[in-house]
Amino acid sequence: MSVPTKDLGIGLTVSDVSGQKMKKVNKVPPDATIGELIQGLLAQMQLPQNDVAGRPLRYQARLDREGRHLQPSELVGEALRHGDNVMLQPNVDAGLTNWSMRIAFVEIGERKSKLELRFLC
Amino acid sequence: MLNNNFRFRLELSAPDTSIIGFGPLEVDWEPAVECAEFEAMRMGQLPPVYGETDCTVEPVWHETLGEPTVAGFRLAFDGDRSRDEFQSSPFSLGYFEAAILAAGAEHHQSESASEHEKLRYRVLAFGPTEKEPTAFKFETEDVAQPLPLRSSSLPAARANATATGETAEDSIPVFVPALLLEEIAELSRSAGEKETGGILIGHLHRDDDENEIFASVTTQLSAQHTEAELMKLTFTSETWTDVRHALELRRQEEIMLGWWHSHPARAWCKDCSLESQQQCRYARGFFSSHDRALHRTMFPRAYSLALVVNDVAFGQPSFSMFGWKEGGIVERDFYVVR
Repeated sequence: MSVPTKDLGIGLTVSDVSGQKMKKVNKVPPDATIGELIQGLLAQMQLPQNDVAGRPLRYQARLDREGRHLQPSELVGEALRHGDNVMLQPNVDAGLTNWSMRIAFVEIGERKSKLELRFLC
Repeated sequence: MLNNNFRFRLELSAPDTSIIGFGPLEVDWEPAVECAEFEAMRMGQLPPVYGETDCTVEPVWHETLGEPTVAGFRLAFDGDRSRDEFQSSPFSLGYFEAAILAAGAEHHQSESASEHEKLRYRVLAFGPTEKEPTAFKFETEDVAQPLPLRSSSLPAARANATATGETAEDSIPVFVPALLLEEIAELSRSAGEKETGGILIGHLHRDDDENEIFASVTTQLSAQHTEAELMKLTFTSETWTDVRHALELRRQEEIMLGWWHSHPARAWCKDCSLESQQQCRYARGFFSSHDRALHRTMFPRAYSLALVVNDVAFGQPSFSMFGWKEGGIVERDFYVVR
C-alpha cells in the first residue's frame, strides 16, 4: 500500500448513506483519525450531527474497497488509499415522541413551563 | 455548495417589547436548498444534475421594519453556465420555526424565566461574516450527480391508478403498487408489538409533454439489522449496507426513494376500549419528531418519501404518505397502482 507524503494528503470520495450526496475530499492528512475525518465531513456534507434530543448522532465510515466499517481510532494514512470510496452511515431512530412543534414544553428542574412564541410585528 | 454570508440572530422581547434575549440562530438550510433546487429542476429552470450549482442565501427584509429584520429568505442558484441561474420563491419565517423554538427553549431554561411566558421575537440578519474554520483544512468539491430520470408518460401512469391520502399541492405525483401496500401491511402485522420498516426503492420519471417529474415505487427492502422496540426503530449502519447490496443485486437501476415504517397502534393502545382507539390520534397517520429527524438525516433529497402504516385493532391497516414541501415535511397524497 502506497502512503502519500504528508504534504499531499489523501484524496477520497465520500457519500451519504443513500449515495445521493457525494463529495471529493482532497488532501486529508494521513495522521488524522477516521473519527476526526468523519466529524470534519459532517458539516461540509450538511449532514445532521445531533438527534432530536440534541445527542450526537453516531456515524460509521464504511470503506467500499474492503467492505468493512472503519474504526474511529484508525489513522487515515493506514486505513485508506488515495481514491478510496467511503460512505458515512448513521445509527438513527424512528419512533414516537410527544414534542409539539408549536409549543415547546421545557422541563426546568421539577416544574414544567409552557413557552409560547409570537412574532413581534 | 451553499454560501451564506449572513449571521442570523434571534431577538426575544417581553410583551412590553423590552429586549430580554439575543443570540445566534442555528438554521438547517439543507432542506430548503434541496426543495428549491429540485423544484427548479422540475420546472426545467436548472439542469437535472446535483452538485453543479452553487446556492446563496439572500434574506428578504421585513417590509415595515426593514433591514436587519428578516421576513424570510430566498435561495439564488448559480451554475457554470450563464443560463443556469434561478432564484427560489421566498421562504417564510415559518422555516425558522424549529430553530426559533430551540433558541426560545434555551432562554426559557434560564432561572429568570417565568412559569408561563409569552415572548415576542424577531429574526435578524447581519453580514458579511467570517466562516468558522472546520476541524481539518481539507478541500471538498461536489461530485456532479445527474438526477436519474426515465422518460415516461404521466397520463398513462395515472390511467391505472387511484389517488389517495391528504392532498399537498404541487407535490410530485407518486405511484405505489397495491400489492406492495399489502406486503407492507402484512410485515407490520407480523412484527406484532414492535415497530418495523424498510426502504422504498424505485425510479424517477420525466414526462416532457406534461413538464413534470414523478416517482414510481417498485418494491420495498425490509430493513435488516434494526433494533426494534414498541415505540422505536433504529436503523443501523449495517441496515444501509444490506440495502445497498440488495440494490446492486437487483440491477434494475433503482434508487432509494424513501422509507416506510409501522406504527403499531394496536399495541400502543391495547389497554383502551375500541371506541377510544378509534378516536385516538395515535391511530391516525402522524410523523413524529424522531421520524422527521430520520427523514432529514437519511433522505434529504426533495423527492424523498416516507410511508407510515397505521396498524390498528379496529380495522385494516391504513397508510399515510409524507414528503418534503418548501423545506418542511408534510402529509401528502399518492396513487395506488392496480
